[in-house]
Parts: sequence; structure tokens; C-alpha cells
Amino acid sequence: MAQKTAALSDEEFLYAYLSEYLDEALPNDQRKRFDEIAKRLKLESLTTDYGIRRGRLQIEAQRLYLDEKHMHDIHDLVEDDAARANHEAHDIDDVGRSELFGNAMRFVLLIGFLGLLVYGGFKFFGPEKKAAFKALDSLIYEAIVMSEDPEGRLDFPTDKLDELNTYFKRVPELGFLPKPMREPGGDWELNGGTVIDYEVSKIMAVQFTGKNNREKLYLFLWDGKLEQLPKSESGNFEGLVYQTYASDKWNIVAWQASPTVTGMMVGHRGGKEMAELAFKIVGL
Amino acid sequence: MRLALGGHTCHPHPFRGILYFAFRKNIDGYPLTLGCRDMAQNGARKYDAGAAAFFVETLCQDADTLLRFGFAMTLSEDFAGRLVFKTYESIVPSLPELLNRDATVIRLQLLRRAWELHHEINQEGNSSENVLYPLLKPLDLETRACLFLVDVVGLSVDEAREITKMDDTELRRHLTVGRKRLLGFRFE
Repeated sequence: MAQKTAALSDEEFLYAYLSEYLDEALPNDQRKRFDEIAKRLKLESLTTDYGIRRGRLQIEAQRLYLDEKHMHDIHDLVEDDAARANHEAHDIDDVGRSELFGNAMRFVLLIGFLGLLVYGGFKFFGPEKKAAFKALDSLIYEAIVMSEDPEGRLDFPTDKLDELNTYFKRVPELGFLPKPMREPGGDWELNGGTVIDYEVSKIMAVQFTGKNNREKLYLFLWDGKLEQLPKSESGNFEGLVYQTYASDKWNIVAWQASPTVTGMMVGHRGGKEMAELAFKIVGL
Repeated sequence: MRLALGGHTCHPHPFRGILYFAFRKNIDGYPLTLGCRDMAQNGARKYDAGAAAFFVETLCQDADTLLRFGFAMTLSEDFAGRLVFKTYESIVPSLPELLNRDATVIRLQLLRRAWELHHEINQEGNSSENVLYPLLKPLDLETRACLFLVDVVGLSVDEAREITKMDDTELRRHLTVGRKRLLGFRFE
């Protein structure tokens, strides 16, 4: 810098570096020199005066600007009115599409949020969910209890199947309309039926007894799905698809008696024989 | 302010009739395609939306600065307006190279082009109604230019030297003269 300014007189230096001095862009030695010259030439107020005048110059210069017509002429160098109109129309389309998409997203988010709110509210404030009905455990237990007290557990003791069918039809709490049962035939006689009231489900229960050996056989029907039972070995008797289970004393077959009704036979016979009995009594 | 561009209402396109290469760039999300393909598809359209937007939004931001610098050089609002148009017209062929440039570099290029064009056209007017006219009239062209570039446009001395091609001492001498005039001038 010193080399560049070698030819400048002190006074020229003062005026030439005014802007750098005001902007504090002068190195220390140059700044020091500036102050010394200003003091010597009694021009200490020069920087202030210059700041004011430069501001005024800039304000006056800002009054010069190109009007719409001249800007239009310049814009026309790269695109004419038709092209500009196309671009603007395209931009407007883009904005419209963007807004439409934004609105759709907001709507979806709002619906989602409301759905979540309703779901959360229902989960939090809604009725407590009933415990799942564990049919296998419960109905084996019922079979045991009924076998221990064959008469005492039957609400509707009868040996006539028609009467029992009518009885079950008149029990609306069952939650399903049972199909009329048919005679099992063979060595089995009907003892009657009852409705077992679990909190989560009503169970239609029917008791049969072997004519010769007093062997017990129980039929249960309830509103439910076979899939709710554990997966097990399956079989098929003339279209009646069943799953078999066993406890230490009882054998069990379960099947889907109708789209919404599950059937279960509990007894001491083999799975296939009980499936055959189920087929005879309940049918497909 | 009243500006007249005279016979510049119809501007021949600089690329018209020239087989121009097509290129593609992306600045601020604009897919830029400039060249004969667009022009062939639509005769009225000279540049695609991205290039046109770049020209309008970046290059044209300096139009008023150019006008002020032009006034300092020509002492005429009319001539200054014409010079601004001529500057943009002459810079348009360089638009593809400018697309990647920084706004500061573009501004310097525009100012340099205006300075060069003024020397080619060499017109000086007398917008005596303008407040700045009596301030600038007694000063020579180089002094007016230096004063405006540094004290109005806000360029550094080195940037002003890039435009005027003066050496440091010469430019600072012009600044000295211009600033003395400014400090002694009473704005009405």
C-alpha cells in the first residue's frame, strides 16, 4: 500500500482514504498517518463532513431508478410478453398445484390427528376390553363339573331334542340363533341343556349320556371363531373340518359350526368318532 | 423521472439465426435449458423459464445501479437509460457463462461493460434539472466515475480499478478531486 500511495501528497492521501478510514478498513500505521495529517492540516472534521455528504450523495443518486417501461424493455431481451405470460401461468399453476397438495396433506393430517384423538380417547376413556374367552380351558372345566353333577347343572333337563331346540331358541342372550340339533342315534341319550353365562360369552351346553355305560358327552356352541383356539391337529369328516385336543381324561374336537359359531364336543371317544357325532347332531 | 430509450422498442435477439448449443443447469431449483431447441419449439420465446428468471432476478437487480453509474458518466438520464439497455443487450450473449457466477462478479461485469460501452458511444448530455448535475458537471469523466463507483455503488478501490483499468494512484487522485468537490458542494 505504501508503494501505491507514494505519489500521493498528504492532502490527497487524506481525501483518497476517507472511505477506508470511515469504514475502519485502514491498517493501523495508515490510520495513524491519516490522523496526523488531518490534525496538521486542521481537517479533523473532514471525516464527519464527508460521511454526511456521501450519505446525501447516495440519497440523491437513489432518486434515479428505471421505471416499469424501461425494465420491461430490458426483460424483453430474454423473453417477450407471450413467453412471460406462459411462464407466469406455469408458475401460477405450480403454486396452485402446490397449494392443492398442501391442503390435501393438511386435510389428511387433520383427519389422521382426529382419528388418533378419537382412538386414543376411546382407548383411554372407553369401556374396558373384555378378557379373551379361553374356550378350551373353560369348557373342559365345565365338562368336568357337569359330569360330577349331571342333573344339578342342567337348567333345562329333558330327553326330547325338540324341546331343547325350542328352549335354546328362546334364549336371546346366546347372541346367535342355534341350528336345530338332530338325534345322535346309537347309544346316546339326551339329558338336557343349559346356558353357561361367561362375562365375555354365553355358551350353549348340551349333555348326552351313554345308554349302557353312563359315559358323558358334551356339546358346546358359542359365538366365536375357531381361530381363537390354539392350532392343533386337524381332521375332516365329510366336510366337517375339526381340530382335536386332549386332556388327561377328556378328548375334545372343535370346529366352525357356522361363520360366527364355534362348536366343541368333549367326551371320552376318539376325535374322529366325536367329529362324526358332531356331524350327526349339528351338521355342516 | 423520464427516460426514453429512443429506437430500442424492438430488440433483435442476439441468438436469432445462430445454431446455439443447448445446455442444462440448475440454479435455485430452476431447470435451465437455453438454446435452439426452445427457440425452435416456440419462435416467440427466446430463453427458457429458468434462464429468463435468472436474468430478471439476478442480472436486472443491478439495473438501477447501472443507471446511476450511467448518469455519472453521461450526465443525462436519457443517455444513462439507453446505456443501461445497451449494457444488458451486450451482456445477454454471455448469459450462459454468467449462470454460475456470484452476484458480485456479475455486478462488476455489468459495470465494466457499461464503462466500456460509454467509451464506445461517448455521449454526454445535460440533465440540468437533476440535483446531481451541477455537482458532477465540473468534474471530468474519470473523476465522476471513480466517485460514483466507490462512494455511491460502494465498491472498494481495487474493484473500481478492475472496471476503470486505472492504477491505484490515478484512481485515488480522481477520488480526491471528486470528494473535494462533494465536500464543497451545497445541495439545493
